[in-house]
Amino acid sequence: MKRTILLLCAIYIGLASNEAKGQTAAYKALFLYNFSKNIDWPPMSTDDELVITILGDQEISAELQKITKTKKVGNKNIKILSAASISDVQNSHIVFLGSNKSSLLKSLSYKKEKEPVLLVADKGGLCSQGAAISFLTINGKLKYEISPSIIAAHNLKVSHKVVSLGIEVQ
Amino acid sequence: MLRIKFVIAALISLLLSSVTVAQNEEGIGLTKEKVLSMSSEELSDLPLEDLMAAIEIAGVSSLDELYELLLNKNVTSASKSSENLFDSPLSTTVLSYDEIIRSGATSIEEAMRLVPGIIVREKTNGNYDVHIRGLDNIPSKNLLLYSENTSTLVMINRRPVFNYAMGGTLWETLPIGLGDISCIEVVRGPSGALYGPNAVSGVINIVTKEHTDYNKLLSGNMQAGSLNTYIGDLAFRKKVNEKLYVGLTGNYNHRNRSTEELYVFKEQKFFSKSEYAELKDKNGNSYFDPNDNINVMYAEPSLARENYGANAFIDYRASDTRMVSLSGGYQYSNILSSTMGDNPASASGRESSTAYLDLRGLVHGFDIQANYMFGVQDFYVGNEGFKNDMGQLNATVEYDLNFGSLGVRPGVNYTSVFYNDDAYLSQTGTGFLNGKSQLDIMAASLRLDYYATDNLRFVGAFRTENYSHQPAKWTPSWQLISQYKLNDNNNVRFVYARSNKSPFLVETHSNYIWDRTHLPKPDYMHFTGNKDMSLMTLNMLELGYRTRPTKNILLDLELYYSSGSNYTVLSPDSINMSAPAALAGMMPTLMGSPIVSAYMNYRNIPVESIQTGASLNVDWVINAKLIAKAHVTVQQTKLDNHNPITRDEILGTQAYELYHINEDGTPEGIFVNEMGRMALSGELPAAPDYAVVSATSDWQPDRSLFKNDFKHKSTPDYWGSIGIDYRPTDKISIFSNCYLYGKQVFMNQYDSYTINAKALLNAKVSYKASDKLTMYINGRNILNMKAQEFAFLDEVPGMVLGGVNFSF
Repeated sequence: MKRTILLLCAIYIGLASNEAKGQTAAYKALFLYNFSKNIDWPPMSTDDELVITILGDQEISAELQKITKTKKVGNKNIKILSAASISDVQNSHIVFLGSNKSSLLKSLSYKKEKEPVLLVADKGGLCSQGAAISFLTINGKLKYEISPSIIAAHNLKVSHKVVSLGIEVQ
Repeated sequence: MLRIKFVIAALISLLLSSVTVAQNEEGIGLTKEKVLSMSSEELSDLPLEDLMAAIEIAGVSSLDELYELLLNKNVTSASKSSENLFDSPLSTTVLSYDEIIRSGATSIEEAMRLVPGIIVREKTNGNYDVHIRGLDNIPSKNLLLYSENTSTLVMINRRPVFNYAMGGTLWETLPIGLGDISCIEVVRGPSGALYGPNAVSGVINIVTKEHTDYNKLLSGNMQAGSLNTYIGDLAFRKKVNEKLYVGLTGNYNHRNRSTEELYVFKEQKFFSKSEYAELKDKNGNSYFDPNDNINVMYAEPSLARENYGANAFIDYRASDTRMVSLSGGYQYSNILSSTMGDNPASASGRESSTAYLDLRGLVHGFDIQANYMFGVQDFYVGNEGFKNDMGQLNATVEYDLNFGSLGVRPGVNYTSVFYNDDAYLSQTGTGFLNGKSQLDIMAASLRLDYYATDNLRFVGAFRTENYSHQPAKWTPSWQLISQYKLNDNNNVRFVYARSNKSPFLVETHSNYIWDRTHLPKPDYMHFTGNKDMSLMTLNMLELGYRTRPTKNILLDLELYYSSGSNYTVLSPDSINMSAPAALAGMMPTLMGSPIVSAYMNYRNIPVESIQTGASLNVDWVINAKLIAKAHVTVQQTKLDNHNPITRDEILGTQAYELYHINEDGTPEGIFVNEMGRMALSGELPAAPDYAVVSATSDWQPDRSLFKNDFKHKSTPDYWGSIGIDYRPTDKISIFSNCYLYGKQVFMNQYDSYTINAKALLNAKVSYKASDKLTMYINGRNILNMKAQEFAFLDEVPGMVLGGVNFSF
């Protein structure tokens, strides 16, 4: 039996090779940029720029930085902020919660309950915990769940197009 | 026969392939290559609908998808709300449907070999013993029944499918098949504070397909192979509209044993059915009870397992916070596996025919569930007294309150279980229960989940239960957890938890007289329940650490220490010997053979288990084509107050004390001395008048014989699994897995039995003919290691199956 185990280990180690890179972070960043173009915020103190805070996902933050070097929303510059904890989250139009920070969603949504902010999460099923939009993968396709009622509760207006292209949850 | 099955499977595959049209993913004039070559700036110029189409064409990279599917799973069972598995405050594993199917596991029980900390031993083809972390065979040196795992709570969608009559899980009675499963969530360690009694060593929650899985109208998985094994499931699922989902599923399972013979404990070998029927011990006594019918008890000794089930699901989702699910189903099962009775042979039949209804609702924070299971269960086919009508009601209401960093979840639960053997008894007294016996449990619970900071979490879960047979007593269970997330990739937790078993109806309500007048002494055995027992309880301390050293590796380490007490057992209380006797001349004489009655009752025993152990699990996405998974558990269990005397030795000593005769021929037993005393006192009249002489021995092993620090060898020192999932092309995948365990020693009332270390190598090769059809060859135990995995039961050889998996 020891021989069998050793043989298996050798095969497994021999088959190992380097990790490849994925492109999903770039797609999620593109979605976030597109959401910013299709959501209306009420007048805010930070009206001269559109602030997107990324909580706990440096990859998406970097991808967004690439996009916003050349892109604006209307005539507003886009400012990307990174946060490590809820207390770091400043006034923002969009807060994206990386999947590693999903456990903070309930606290974040409670804290931002009355603010005009779009909370975007990175795991399926999180609209039930307060996310307005949540990414998920279905059969190898990147999709998003969207809750128009949560968006409205934050005093935001979303275009019909964003709702119809997503998986609507109430 | 096998060849015909493969030909049929191949023909079905070809037929299904012929109607399958390959998809060409072009929608807006873009190809996958074009999309992948576009820069972020170019893609950002696309309007949302075109961007979505482009991303759909490109798809998520297979590596990202693997990260998401394997290393970033969601789990709900550990906190009763969805969370990232990495953040779970308990030792938790999630096994997805895809992982189960890829592995080639042919049943839910076998799939448990992929889960860290679970020992899975095959008893007969397709019938398994499943233990979380061990603690098996406590108390030992008694009935084979005590090998059953009575300390793990198995649920389907949180509906307990526990056997409250005798304890444990009758796996073959689960109405669902593999095709019904969305995922299986396993929580290791005492979880009674979340799910109630019997979640002592952990919880296995089988989650059926969710509404997001309702994207294929027809799906199924069918395979056939060695030992006349046929396994299949078929599902029809329809999304009626955005809110309403309906499903209808069915499953079938047929497996033969590798032998038709039966193992007889005292002879220590296998015999054919006809040999067993005639088999006699060295004193000329028959092993098989002539009152029973061997052709009823072993109608088909070659059959290991046959079961089928049908389920219907209706899911109405008004919103994510308002939904109602109704499911119902029926199952029939008939198996030959380890006996649950006091049988001379190790195997006996079990038959079950049950139905269920389960209603779940989520309404603005209220989580409501009510279900009822009912039917007929026969725990020992062909032996009067084990067949029962049964019903099990379970109702739970919990409410989720969110105060930001503090989550509060109060709840109440009511469980009511009855078993009734009345309809199946030839006369009162021949059943275990002799009528309807009922157990009602009321419970209240509270779970607090507090984030002191973003990284520091405290969880306190409390539950208390009131059992109807002890109305004045409330039994608490709890989980106290602190969890600290050093950073996004390192998470450490500390758990202190306590859970208890519930009483089982045979323990509290047994009222059974076993007439053994055609068998060796004793002539009668009286089994009596006990409503005053304390409940078996396990306390656990656990230190857990999860880490992602790199994005593609997930490591999970658990170190645990547990102590168990208040184990219960059916044990000899006393033996009585009675006979009419008289004075014949100067000598007292028996007027007939003494009637010997043994009295057995349920009781707590002083044994305490102390277990220390560790589990390590590794999930490693090496690249998009290769995934490695491994887990290993090492443990040591020591027993204090271990009684080294077997049940039969206690009975034997009591009998000896009554009737032993010295080497010089002088009688000294209590019974004969009593006869002498009566003769001397004049209580014994001269023949033909007679008086009854009666004497009782209640000898019990002296506590000085009990052993402390006794190494419990029934749980192996180590077990685990190592496997690779290799996907050389989009069409072909090869999954190989080696499950292994160390040596263990099983003890029952007759014997000790050593199970040697074993490694089981499995491999499944799949060919994906299209998105709709996959064909495969599935090898189980391909090195044909035949050694028994479970004491006294079958040697299950290597098996080869061929099958198809399809969805339209």
